[in-house]
Amino acid sequence: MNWLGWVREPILHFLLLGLGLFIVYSWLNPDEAIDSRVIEINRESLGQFIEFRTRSFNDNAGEKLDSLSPKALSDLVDQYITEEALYRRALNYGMDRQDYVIKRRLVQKMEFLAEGTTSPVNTLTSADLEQFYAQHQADYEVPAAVTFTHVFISVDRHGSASKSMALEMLARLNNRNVRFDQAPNFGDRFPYQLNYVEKTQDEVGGHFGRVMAGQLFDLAVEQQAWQGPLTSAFGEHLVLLTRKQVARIPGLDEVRNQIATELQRQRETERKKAVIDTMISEFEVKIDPALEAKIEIRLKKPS
Amino acid sequence: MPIRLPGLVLGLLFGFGAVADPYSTPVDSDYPKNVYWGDTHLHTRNSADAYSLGNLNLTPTDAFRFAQGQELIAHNGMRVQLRRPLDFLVVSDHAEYLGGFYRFNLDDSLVRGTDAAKKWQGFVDAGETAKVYATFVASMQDPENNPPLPEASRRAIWEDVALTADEHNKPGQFTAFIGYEWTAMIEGNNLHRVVVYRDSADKAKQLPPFSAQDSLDPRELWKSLARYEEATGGEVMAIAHNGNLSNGMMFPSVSVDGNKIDRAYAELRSRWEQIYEVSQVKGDGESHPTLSPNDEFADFENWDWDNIGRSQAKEDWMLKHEYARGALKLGLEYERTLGVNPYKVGLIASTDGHNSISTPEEDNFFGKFPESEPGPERMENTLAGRLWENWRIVASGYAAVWAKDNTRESIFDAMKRREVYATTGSRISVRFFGGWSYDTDAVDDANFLDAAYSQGVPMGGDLTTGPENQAPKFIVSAAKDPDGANLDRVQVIKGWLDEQGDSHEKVYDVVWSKDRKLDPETGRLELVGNTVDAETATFENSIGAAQLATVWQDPDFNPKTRAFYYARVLEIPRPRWTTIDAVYFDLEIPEGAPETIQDRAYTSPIWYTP
Repeated sequence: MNWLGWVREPILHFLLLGLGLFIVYSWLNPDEAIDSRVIEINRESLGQFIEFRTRSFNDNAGEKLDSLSPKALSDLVDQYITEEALYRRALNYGMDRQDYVIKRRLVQKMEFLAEGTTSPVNTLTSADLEQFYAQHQADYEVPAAVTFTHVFISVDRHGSASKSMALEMLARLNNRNVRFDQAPNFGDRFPYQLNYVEKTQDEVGGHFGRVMAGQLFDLAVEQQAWQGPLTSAFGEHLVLLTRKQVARIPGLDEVRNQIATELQRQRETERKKAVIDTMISEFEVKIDPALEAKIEIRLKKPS
Repeated sequence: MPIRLPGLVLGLLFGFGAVADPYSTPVDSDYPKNVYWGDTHLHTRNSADAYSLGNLNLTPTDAFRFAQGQELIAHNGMRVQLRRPLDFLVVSDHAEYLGGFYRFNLDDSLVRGTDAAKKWQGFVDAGETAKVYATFVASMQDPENNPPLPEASRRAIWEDVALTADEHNKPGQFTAFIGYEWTAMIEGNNLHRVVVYRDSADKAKQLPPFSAQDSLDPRELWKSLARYEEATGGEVMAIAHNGNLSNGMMFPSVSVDGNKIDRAYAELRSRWEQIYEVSQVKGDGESHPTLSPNDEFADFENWDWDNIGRSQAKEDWMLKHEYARGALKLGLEYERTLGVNPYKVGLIASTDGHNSISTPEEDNFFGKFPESEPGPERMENTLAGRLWENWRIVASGYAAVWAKDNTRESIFDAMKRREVYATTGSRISVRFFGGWSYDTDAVDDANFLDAAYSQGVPMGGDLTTGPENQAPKFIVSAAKDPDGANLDRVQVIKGWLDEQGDSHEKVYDVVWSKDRKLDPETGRLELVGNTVDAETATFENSIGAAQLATVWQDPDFNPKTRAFYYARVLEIPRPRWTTIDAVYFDLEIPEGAPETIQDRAYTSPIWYTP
């Protein structure tokens, strides 16, 4: 016997057609939705039965029905009657309520349907995208980036003298007007790079630590003047910061695809939440007062 | 160096003399300058075990988004985010019933009506849902009685998996690899491999994943990879893991058919398996105290009680067939007798998380299954509700890759050439090179990489006959995680064959943080100390060093025999995740759990062949 038969039941088809609430209500009250003693055979019920049996979901179920031979149609009717009878018997036994596995599966199926996975939101208009962009453009910010070279004084090598050495080095670099390309001639070997071109704060942080990356991004651009020293986990750094691209909000066209994806995702999430919230709102929650004193019931219907 | 000379001559004739800059600008630093951090082994709800154990909703998309730094709600309800995003990720769900359980539960048409679904439905109807999970476990070891889903379903599910990776792959920013796990298990012994694709879905989708239901023999897996490359022109590789749970079968002396491994086995394996996942949530597999009694740091987060099926207790003979160092030594022995080294593997680590959340760091560790996500119970409950105590799981690790760009091609190629290393969850940067003519102060030069690459080979490479009466030199240069713990020491681990063909090993301390001496009797370096305060789960970087670098020459070199060398970098002690949990949830640290951990990096070896 296949307990999954219930999902082929006509009431669920309404869900797929978008009549979620009505169906939820029906599902919660199956006896009202179905006259449990009468199995009706008609073109509509058989058409839907065929669709679910074949998972074809085309609009031509009626044609398919007409094309069946009398023998094939009789077989189909036999299957339909058998499935309906067993299914309704199972409901009468209360299996949908008593069997935890079925209960959990029903819940998952509801979530799945609420997610709208079977009918994705595909009706985003330009206006939708523009509105979403206006509200969320900050999320698409192209992060600030810096271009710099540095002269490094290793704390492992010079210990507590590092700071004063760095200050001396700073004076030397500035007195001699040391250029960007001359930086390799000074200081100790740094474990990562010497020159950083158009790097974001995250990237700089990965090499210098988050603290120093923050300080570096606060410096102003100076084409000639070496700045610092800034301190990393590795030691002191004299910095020639020659370019700084401020964070920038890209135009809508630059991020249109990303926005469409995100808006779609958001709509689906909202729709799911709305459907579930509505379902929950149909119920009154009664809670043991002893328990209520201890916890917050967040999903309780406002009374 | 006969090959380099013509290049130099050509360069002089046509390059340097003619124009100021080379026409092709990339040539002036034609070596990888960036280290990229990733996880090659992560499961989502598409894995049958992950789904059965509560990962009902977190998809590959969630995994890719989280890896790129997005916030996620974990199964325990906590918000979770990476402090630093990953550069790359392989979502490697189990190929056995891939996507099957969750699709079954949703009555998805790809699964409905299949023999497997009918069987599962029978168990569900009988109220025996545990038996549904058992069919997954059985599928990994008894394919005859647990056949796969129909091929059409497998293809459709696989295409969905592959396209999802494509969707998240952003060359230059984030690499999303297509992958899966072949999860064969023989009598409870773990033979698992992650398969990684260099390709996009257009190629990857052409053949469904090869699962344990197709064969339990790794040779059949390798042949399937060959068939894939043949059919599509694509490229794939396999990465084995958890030798520690294989009871001697991961780096075997006999193949699964009971015959001694032969040259054909060695050729196949070395063709498809260039790297090994040495450390992950189910234990660290670099070495073991029984195998390496003179290595005081070998006893590190080892899981050495039994196999993954918990069906047979561990015996000492198994260990050298399970741990990376044992395998590297065996590899030298087999290379001598078979002519091919079957176990010539570079080293990476990964998480093997099953909750779609890749978190290898001690202070942001979200466990393996939902049941080991942070919470007051997690140190006391057991893995998958039936295996080992969860306080034993290891917050580990990262796959670190030296590559030129963050692309599928660049990272995959680096893995193939083994220019990769493992860390147990810390972002230690480490370079390792071998050569014959390095200056002893090479690492002091700001541009030492030019010399390191032009006069030798990086990690994963090979050295052969050098100048007469000279021993090879090794450059090692390590830097601490810029936001993490200082470094304790760098060691070089050497394995070699003697002239009778027996293998040996030795650990050399080569550079360490200052003010410590080697004990003249034991040759051991003084311990670095410990700044951990377990009461607050904090530590201070007042000991150790930020960087350690040196040029080391092998003092015991015998040019006539095979050898390998790799570097191990140790951090100073910091609080283990269990110590952090104990403070956060106000609990006792479980008995047996160490308060501290010295996270570490293992480089891929460099091999010397006479």
